Amino acid sequence: MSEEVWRRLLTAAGALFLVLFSLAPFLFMLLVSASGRPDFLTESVPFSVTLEHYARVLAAAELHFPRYLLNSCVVSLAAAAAAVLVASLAAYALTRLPVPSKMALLFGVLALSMFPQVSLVGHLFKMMSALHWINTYQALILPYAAWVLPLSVWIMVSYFLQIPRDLDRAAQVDGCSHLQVLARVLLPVARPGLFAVFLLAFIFCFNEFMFALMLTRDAAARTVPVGIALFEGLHGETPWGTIMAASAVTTVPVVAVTVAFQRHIISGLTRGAVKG
Amino acid sequence: MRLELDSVTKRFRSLRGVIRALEGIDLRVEDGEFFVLLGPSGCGKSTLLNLVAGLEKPSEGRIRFDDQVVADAATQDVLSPRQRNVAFVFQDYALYPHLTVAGNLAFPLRVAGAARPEIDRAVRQAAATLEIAELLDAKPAELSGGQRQRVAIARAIVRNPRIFLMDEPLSNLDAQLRLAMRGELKRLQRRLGITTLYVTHDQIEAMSLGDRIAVLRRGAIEQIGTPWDLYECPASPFVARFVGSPPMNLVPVRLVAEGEGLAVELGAHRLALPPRARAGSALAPGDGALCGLRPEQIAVRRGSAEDALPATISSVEPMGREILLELECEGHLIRALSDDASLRPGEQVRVRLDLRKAHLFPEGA
Repeated sequence: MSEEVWRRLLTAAGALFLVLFSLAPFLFMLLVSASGRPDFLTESVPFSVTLEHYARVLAAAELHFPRYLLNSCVVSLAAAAAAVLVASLAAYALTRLPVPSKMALLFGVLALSMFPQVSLVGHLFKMMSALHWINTYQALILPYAAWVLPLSVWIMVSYFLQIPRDLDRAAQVDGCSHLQVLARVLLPVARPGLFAVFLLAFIFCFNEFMFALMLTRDAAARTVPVGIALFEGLHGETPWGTIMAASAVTTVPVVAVTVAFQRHIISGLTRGAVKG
Repeated sequence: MRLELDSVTKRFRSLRGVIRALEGIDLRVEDGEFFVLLGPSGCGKSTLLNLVAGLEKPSEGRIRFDDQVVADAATQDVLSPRQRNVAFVFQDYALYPHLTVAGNLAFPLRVAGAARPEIDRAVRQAAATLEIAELLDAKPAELSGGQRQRVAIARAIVRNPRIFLMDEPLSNLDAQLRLAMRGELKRLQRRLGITTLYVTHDQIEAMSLGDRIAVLRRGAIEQIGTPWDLYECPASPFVARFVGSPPMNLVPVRLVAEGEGLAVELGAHRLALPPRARAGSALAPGDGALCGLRPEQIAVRRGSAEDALPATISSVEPMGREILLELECEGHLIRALSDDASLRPGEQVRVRLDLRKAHLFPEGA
């Protein structure tokens, strides 16, 4: 066989391996969630298909799963929106305004994001207790927004730095205030960055476990990751089928948000601003 | 609108210390004038434009539009660009990439909160003036460089600004388009009668566009005058070298007394200085000087002539109508224009210097 054919075969094989490797846990999750006997791999019982787990997850009142899902969506959307808003303002100041020691600020932000969550969660708990916010949305939204902010700021700064300065000088001459420059020119031009930041922040918050575990008490504010982890069977056993069904349902909003946003995350939007 | 700058100074603080971008600029641009700021890169001409636009604040001095003070360093009264109603055309065009051409033209009016029908009318009118009506629905990315430039100019005229500020608007266009746009820009400015401050490093552009030109060097004004003034009476060797193409020859000479008048000594030769060349200069016998001669004031001949200097042709550059010669003469490299196409490099010739229009600059100027 020629070198070209080999190269194609190997590329295809590598791609296939990567896809299977990444998707295997997901496929296993789907399999278990739809199987009548979650232990079908270990015993010689036949595999049977059932939607019972899904029905239970979505309908059983004692599991509170739909409520967890709602909590997760509200908290993640709010935190992501807050992070994007604050990050845009911060990035504008850091790239466009005469702020002293910008680099120190940027690296300070980066350094802050390196604190392990576990070192913060105790103080957060005390703080939220003092505010009587335990088990509320805002107890999660604020720390989440702060937690994803460093990354958001860095991404927004890198996008804003790519936008030619003449563009905002033109907007200023055309009568814009600083906020108008940001809202009417920089944000629309940096739209891919904006959506990328929103999506990342959303996924981070949606997956977050430790803060949610410590700062919520019951279904009033508990999010999906914590909710699923605390599922319990009737006799204290781990209800794998239910957990997997819940996990499968949980991927739906994340996939939906990703699909909705990915067409906005295309680069090259600044093309045509200046000579090119 | 009349623009006045009173001893305007601009300093920037950077990591390497304080940079003086502009130093004591006094300038008066009359109503409706096409005024060009000419200088090499880094001379502060763009900074001056930013100060007038309100994108920068002066460190010292005052800027006035007619009788209105728009920036005063002493009182810290600085109007924003929005309050000044200026229009800016950038070198890179700076079109808003997310808006259509129509959106770009409408942008300043929308920000100002104009009514819809008024915006539509103004956009159509500006588009018609610049002949870009058929491009109104296109995005900037779909346009050619020349079209983008037209859109940028249309955006500038759309709202009747008090002054046009242009920062090398033609330098990204190819040579032919630049020539065409130059003429068009000048006609447009004449027709609209709006005061224009135009920055360029291209002296040909400055000469052809400007009613008056200010030559800037290292943040200070070297000379202000009409294109003709700059060409005929350059105030310094810098202006002499900068204005005119090919540039003026500046040859170091020594002055000696000759009878009643003066003569220049160039190598072993002594050339009498016509009274006209001495006018206004305080030079005396014994002084060193730079003698400025335009290439067209040097005649190159074959054969021998008494009052001509011997020279060797070191290179020949045909320029179309004329030929640019580089000559080795008394140890100096001088440029001359000739229409004799038979001259060849290495040839021995005689050059006659027409000193009636020579410019003498004191040594070290």
